[in-house]
Amino acid sequence: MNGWELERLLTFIEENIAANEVRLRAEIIRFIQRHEDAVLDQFRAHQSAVIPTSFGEIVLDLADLRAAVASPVAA
Amino acid sequence: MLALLVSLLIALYLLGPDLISRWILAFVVPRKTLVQSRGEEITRAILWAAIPLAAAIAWAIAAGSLRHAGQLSDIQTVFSGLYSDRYFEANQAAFFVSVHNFFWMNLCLLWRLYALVILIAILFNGIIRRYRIWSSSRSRWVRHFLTFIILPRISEWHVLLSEMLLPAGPFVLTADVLTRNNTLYQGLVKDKMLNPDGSLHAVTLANPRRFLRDEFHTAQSANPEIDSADFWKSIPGNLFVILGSDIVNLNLKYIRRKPLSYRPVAEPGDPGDTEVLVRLLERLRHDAS
Repeated sequence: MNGWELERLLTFIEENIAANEVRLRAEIIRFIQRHEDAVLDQFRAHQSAVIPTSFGEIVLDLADLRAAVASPVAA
Repeated sequence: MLALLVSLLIALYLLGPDLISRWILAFVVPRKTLVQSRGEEITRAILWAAIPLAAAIAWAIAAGSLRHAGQLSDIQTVFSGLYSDRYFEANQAAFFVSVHNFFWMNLCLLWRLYALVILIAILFNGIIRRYRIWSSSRSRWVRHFLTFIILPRISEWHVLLSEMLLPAGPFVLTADVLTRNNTLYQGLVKDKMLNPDGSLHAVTLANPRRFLRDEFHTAQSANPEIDSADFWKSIPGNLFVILGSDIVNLNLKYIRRKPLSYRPVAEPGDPGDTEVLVRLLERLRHDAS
């Protein structure tokens, strides 16, 4: 792989990261919507919840939830 | 004798700096083995040594040590004496004085050359280690320098499977790995092992999961709307190693360590998706009270 190919790869990754982030967030929200009681049970028992997504299992804790609700719109 | 001296000078001025730079770079990253002809290898060595050598000569001239050690005529005398026996016999005394000066001239250049090569290699190591931060630079020139000077010296697998390409910030690298027996694994890329030539030997995943393909297809035939996310089975264990020879393809994903910290810009009037999270928090708060 030469410098040009790597440069293209870097640009490609950068272009896709935002799309991945939107998709991952949407999957987490959709899972919480669909399995709200189960997620709530996990939070009650462990102060955290494991959310299965196509990107892998994402562990959310209460601080993440509070930060997501409180924080202004991120870049 | 002349051929011996020229070979020694080539080794000291061209091959030595290249070997030392490779050795120092190997402390930080696995380099890829380039299959090159002897001509290509010498050209690369010349290019790698040319800049530090030019700088070493300028440094030695500016410091006055090169002039103090000897003159251009000393170099001519040494080479003439080695080339011609007749010249050597006629100028024996001058030849040995010139050999002495020639030695000190080379020494004063060589220690500067090696010091610069070591310094540049350490600088490259530093840039490679902090590549994520440097590469996020908005300056096109910085990015081009990093892409064309630093990256081609490193194994592609290291570039892809390390944190080098991750955007600056709290991102992690996950991968879907399809193996030759058609099994799909997923996990957090924790480590990789590379062969001496830079090819992939194995990749290590944390929190590995296996996709239950048969069960999914069976369930999907009954209910086409079924969610594939329910068909991942966690694999007990800490680190899961997959041999490179078993891998058919890799799907690499760069995701935020805290995915909810990313909030897409909402359209005007769109309440966004936070109401789901707000409701969840309210229910938790209600439990606590």
